[in-house]
Amino acid sequence: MKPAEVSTPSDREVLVKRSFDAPVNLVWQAYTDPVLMRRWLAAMPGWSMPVCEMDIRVGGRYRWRWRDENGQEFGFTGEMLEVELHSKIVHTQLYDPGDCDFGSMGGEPSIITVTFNETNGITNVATLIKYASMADRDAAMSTGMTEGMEMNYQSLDGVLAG
Amino acid sequence: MTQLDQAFAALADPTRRGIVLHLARGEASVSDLVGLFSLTQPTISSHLKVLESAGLISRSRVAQLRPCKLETEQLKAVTDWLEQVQEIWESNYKRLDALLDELKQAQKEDRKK
Repeated sequence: MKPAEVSTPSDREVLVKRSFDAPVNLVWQAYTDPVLMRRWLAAMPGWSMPVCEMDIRVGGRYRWRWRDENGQEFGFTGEMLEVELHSKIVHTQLYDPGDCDFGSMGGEPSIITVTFNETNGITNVATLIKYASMADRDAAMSTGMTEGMEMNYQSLDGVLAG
Repeated sequence: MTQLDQAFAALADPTRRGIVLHLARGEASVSDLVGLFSLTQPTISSHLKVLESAGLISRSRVAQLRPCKLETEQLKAVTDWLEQVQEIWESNYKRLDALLDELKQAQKEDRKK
C-alpha cells in the first residue's frame, strides 16, 4: 500500500489518508477492539499501550495511555460523538500529560473524524484532526519538530498537491 | 500567531500552494503568475503578500519586475513537521498492515472449517 499522505486542509486541521489491503469489517475491528488496537496504535515508536478502554457508541468514552521503558506515561481521553458501523467514527480527544513533560498541547479537546471506505477489498481510511485553535495545533506541532532534515522537493510536491 | 502558523495558514489555500509549487522550479514575476493562474493582478498580489508575510517567499527590491523567490528555510520547517507526522502515522499503519494480514488469514481458515 502507498505510504500515508499528510496534508493540512486548513489552519486548524491535519488530514491523514491511507489505504489498507483488507475489507472494511476487519479494518473497523482493528480500530475499535482494544485487544487489536494495542497491537498497532503507538503514540510514539517504542511506547507500549497498557491502557486502552473503548466504549464504541455515541456518548461512550475512551481512554488510551502509553508508557515508555522508563515508566513515564501519557495518554488521550475523549467521547464518541458519532459512530456509524463500518463507515465513520467522530470523537473528541483531550491530551492527558500524565507524568510526561511534552509541554502543553492545549486545554481544549480536538475533534477526530475517521472515515472508512471500501472499494474492491481495499479500505481507504481518512483521519481528520481538527484542533480547537491554531495555538493548539502549534503546540501539538512544536512537540514533533526536528532539525537537520534536507529539503525534499518530491515530498513537497505530495504535500502541496494534497 | 507564530510564523510557522502563518506558513501553514498560507499553505491552506490551493492557489497559494500552486504558486509555491511553481516557485519551487524557479523565480517568477507577478505577471508570469497572473498568466499562469488566470487570475487578476490584484488577486495574485494579495496571495503573494500572504506568502511573503509568512516568510515563504521573498521579493527582490532591486529588479523592476520584483521577481518572487521561494524561501526554502521556512518551507522546510513546514515539510519537516509534516514528514515527522507522516513517519509516526506510517509506523503505526505498517503494524496495522501486518495485523490485518493476520486477521484475513484467520478469517480464511475459519471459512475452511
